[in-house]
Amino acid sequence: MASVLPSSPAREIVGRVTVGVADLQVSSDPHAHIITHALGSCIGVTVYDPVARVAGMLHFMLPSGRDNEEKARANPAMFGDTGVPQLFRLAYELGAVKDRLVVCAAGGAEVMNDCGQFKIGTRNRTILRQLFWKNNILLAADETGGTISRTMQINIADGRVTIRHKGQETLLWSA
Amino acid sequence: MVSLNDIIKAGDRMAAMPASVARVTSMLATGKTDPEELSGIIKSDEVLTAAVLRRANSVAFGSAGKVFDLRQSVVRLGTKNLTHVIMEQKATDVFGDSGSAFGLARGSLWRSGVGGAVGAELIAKKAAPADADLAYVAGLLRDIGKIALDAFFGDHYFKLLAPHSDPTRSFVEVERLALGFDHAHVGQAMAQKWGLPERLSNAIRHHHEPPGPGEERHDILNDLVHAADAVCLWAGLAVGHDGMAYTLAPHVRESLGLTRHEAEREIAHVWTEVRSIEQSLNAPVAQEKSA
Repeated sequence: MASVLPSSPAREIVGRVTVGVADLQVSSDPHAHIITHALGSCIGVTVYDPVARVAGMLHFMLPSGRDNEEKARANPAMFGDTGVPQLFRLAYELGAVKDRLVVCAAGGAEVMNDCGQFKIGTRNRTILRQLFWKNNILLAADETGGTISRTMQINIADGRVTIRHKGQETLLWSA
Repeated sequence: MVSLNDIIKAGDRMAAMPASVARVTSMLATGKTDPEELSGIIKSDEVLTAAVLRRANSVAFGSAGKVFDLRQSVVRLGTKNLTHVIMEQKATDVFGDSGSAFGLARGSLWRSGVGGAVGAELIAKKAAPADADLAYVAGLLRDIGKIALDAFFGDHYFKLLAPHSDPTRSFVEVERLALGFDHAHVGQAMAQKWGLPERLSNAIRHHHEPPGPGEERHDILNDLVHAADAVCLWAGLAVGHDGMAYTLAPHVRESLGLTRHEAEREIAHVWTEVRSIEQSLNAPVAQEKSA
């Protein structure tokens, strides 16, 4: 669950910060890293401003809060269309600037043989692309799709983003 | 070659069916709940007593600012909620710390079990109301086979499966190639050993691959548990090394009348309910584990 509500000021977090499902965190502590585990069909989004040294991470579960308005109000981080704007807003509160932001994404896996029935992972990826397209935001790197689970981590000191799967770590983005 | 019996023996050493779970399962399966007996089960167990008090006095139950003692709490919750508190609390004993064989953190199997119970019951209320109670129990216990495999193999399990892993194969197919059976087979065998009703053990057996209409062993209970399992995956409740490598049975959407919008509402509801139950039971929150 998002630890900071829309009207609240962004708070500082020190050390290792874990982002749960339907959760988001931002920090400007250069010694901190932010991590989220077990991204399946959910998507993890990271933002990083290399000048302000501000980073944030969102782990959203579903594409849109339109069918779940009450839940979207209570916890914007549950949905892509409410969580992504919230992530950017909180990063701006810590001094991040949109034009400098490095944005990465991971997750959005799909169950096998969905038969086109629900496509939760695919629709999570689609809403992200739509939001970024509308707001002139380019993804610096992404690793999405497939059927695997992923762990995503961002180090605030240098903005380095890594992905871990079955114990093997790969670099998604570095300066 | 490891046999199914070897695995079941390991499971028996790791997890026993608590007498209270067996009794409440029997009540739910037959539709004959006995309030006096439920009260007796709760009073004889300090942890359960505390859980009932917390649930009855929780904000989620609309009790903010009021305090109810045990007698009032039992009346306030009613028999259905009492059965759920007993099952959800005692399931923490059943699942224990299991999960590392599947890349799952401590508490994740319990969390996924509760999500399966809530999800299966919710879908059943619309699609097969007469089976709602049984769907709840089947959803809760659908992954008991993982307990036995975890006890037998531990972290070695994924090394055993690795040579058979392939993006075109589902996780249960990989398990069958490596062992000759999968965690759902193991779960069915454990359920039979624990004396659970046959429909329940069959639902555990078929929760990943439910037979379709017209096939032998087709049962809407299997479809309910299958759909609830998918809801838990989408809600991120127990995504381990197996990731999303499961198939969705094509007939289930139609058999349950499940639309995409309903599925999304259920995913959000299940996740929210599990969080609420976790807090009200003071259950060990799943410690996240790297993929």
